Amino acid sequence: MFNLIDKLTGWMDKMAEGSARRMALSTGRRSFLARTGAVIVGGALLPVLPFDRTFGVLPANAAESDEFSCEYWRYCALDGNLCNSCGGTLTQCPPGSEASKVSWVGTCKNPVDGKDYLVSYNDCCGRSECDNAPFCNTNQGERPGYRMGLHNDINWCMANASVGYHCTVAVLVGLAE
Amino acid sequence: MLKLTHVAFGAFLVAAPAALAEDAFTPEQVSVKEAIDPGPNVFVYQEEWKGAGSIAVFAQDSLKLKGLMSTGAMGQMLVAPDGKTAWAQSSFLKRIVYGPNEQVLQTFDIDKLTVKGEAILPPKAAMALGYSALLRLSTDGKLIFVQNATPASSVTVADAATGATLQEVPTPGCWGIYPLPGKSGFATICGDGTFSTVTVSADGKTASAEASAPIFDPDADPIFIEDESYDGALYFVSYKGVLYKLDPSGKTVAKLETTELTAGVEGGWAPGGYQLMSIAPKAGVLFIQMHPDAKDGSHKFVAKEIWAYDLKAKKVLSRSKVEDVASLVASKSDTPLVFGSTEVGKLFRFETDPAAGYALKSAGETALTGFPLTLDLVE
Repeated sequence: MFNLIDKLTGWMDKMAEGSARRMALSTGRRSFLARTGAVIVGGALLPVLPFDRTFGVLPANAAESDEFSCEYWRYCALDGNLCNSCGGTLTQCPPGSEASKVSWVGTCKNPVDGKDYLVSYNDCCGRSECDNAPFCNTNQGERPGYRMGLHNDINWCMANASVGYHCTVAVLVGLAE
Repeated sequence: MLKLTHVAFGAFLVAAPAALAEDAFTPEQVSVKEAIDPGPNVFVYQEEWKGAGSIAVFAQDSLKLKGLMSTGAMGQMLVAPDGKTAWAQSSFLKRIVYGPNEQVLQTFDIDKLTVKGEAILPPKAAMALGYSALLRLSTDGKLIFVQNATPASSVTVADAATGATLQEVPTPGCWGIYPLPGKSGFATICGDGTFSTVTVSADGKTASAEASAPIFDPDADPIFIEDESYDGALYFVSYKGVLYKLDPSGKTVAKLETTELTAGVEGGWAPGGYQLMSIAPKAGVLFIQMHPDAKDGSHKFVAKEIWAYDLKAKKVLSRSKVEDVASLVASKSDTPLVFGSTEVGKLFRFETDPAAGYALKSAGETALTGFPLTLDLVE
């Protein structure tokens, strides 16, 4: 797990800005698609969920399964306003905003399957801060800027053309090993 | 509104009895106060992420607001040691939250609360929460260091007098700026647990870097980027409450000593917050924000207590309960004042009692706005 994160942070610091943007794209949503599977239908991306993986097991804490609560398990290192309460979804920026080209990564345990997932916290950009939505500040595994890929006290819209911070999504990009 | 006022005023003159019109009445004239009231100040950077932030200037004794110096968004504040000049690095987006971003280093005249200089920075300055280590003045006062993130890390070196950019120093994998004593340059914390000592030439235009031996373990117990200087040493604290005493004066940063702040204390206490500690040098006391039941992810928890720690005797002198302090700063006097800000817009003033282990006593409160996480003061 830490090897992967070290790689992510190491790459970020060593690369020029342009390549940093490319890296974030390739380790972000594309990895998510590669690992979970997806189909493209009429230009729309639809995640494939062939069966219910919960096996009827519910997390001990109901809030951990409520994606509109700051206690939702994916938000273990999220510092920002929830996009799913501001016109977007868990993994989609609100209409009209832009997804950040770079992001920070958290490692969160899914209470249903007990596995640790790498979560990419992309900021959504180019709109005013969505204070209508819950503001969450959870910091499991968060590190200061000397581990930039694990740092959340900074505007991750920094590599976008429009850097106004709007809100944050939580995208599963891999399983922690 | 102005026209209506004039009409009404004219009608009043016509209709007023002669006796009333003869009464002496001197209309007031609007003007601008020339300067802030004298006396020591405490400065709070009221950061905003969707518009203008500001440096708020308060009287240390009364917490009376003396005025604001306006900045752009997502910025950092820096106050000169003489309390006469302040700087801010911040972002000015063409359409406030979108469009081209111009990052500006502003220079302020604190007495007049005016902007006396502006310089355009390379468009890389970190848009981060307020941390004093992200905008710094060199020890000789001649250079300003600006932390950049693209997210690749670098530091812009600027002329403190003019704001002109002199160079950009790459600092890959490192973060925070800690001016070197006695020479031009800075140390910075690196993600592998070392520090890098960056020596900058006298003209500010070239630099060289040297890595230290490992100082801390960034995986097991990372250090906060908040620093304090005291008696020639540089202090940091870790997530778990280990105080690091470092020597920044050599070719590389050297570890002098570590002590555990919470040794022998029950309750799972740990440091937390943002500008989470400050040293009162005459007292030799470190004031530090602490929270109980610490766990992975609690390192930004606001303080439930502020501990006063004797740096020479290496013991906790007092523990004072406080209301959710997120950042603090202590004054340098024999009986230090402590000012603390909260995430929900309060500025607290505390007096301390040396006879009671520098325990804090509440002595004032006022309102703040924005994200008020950076504080400074000059006596």
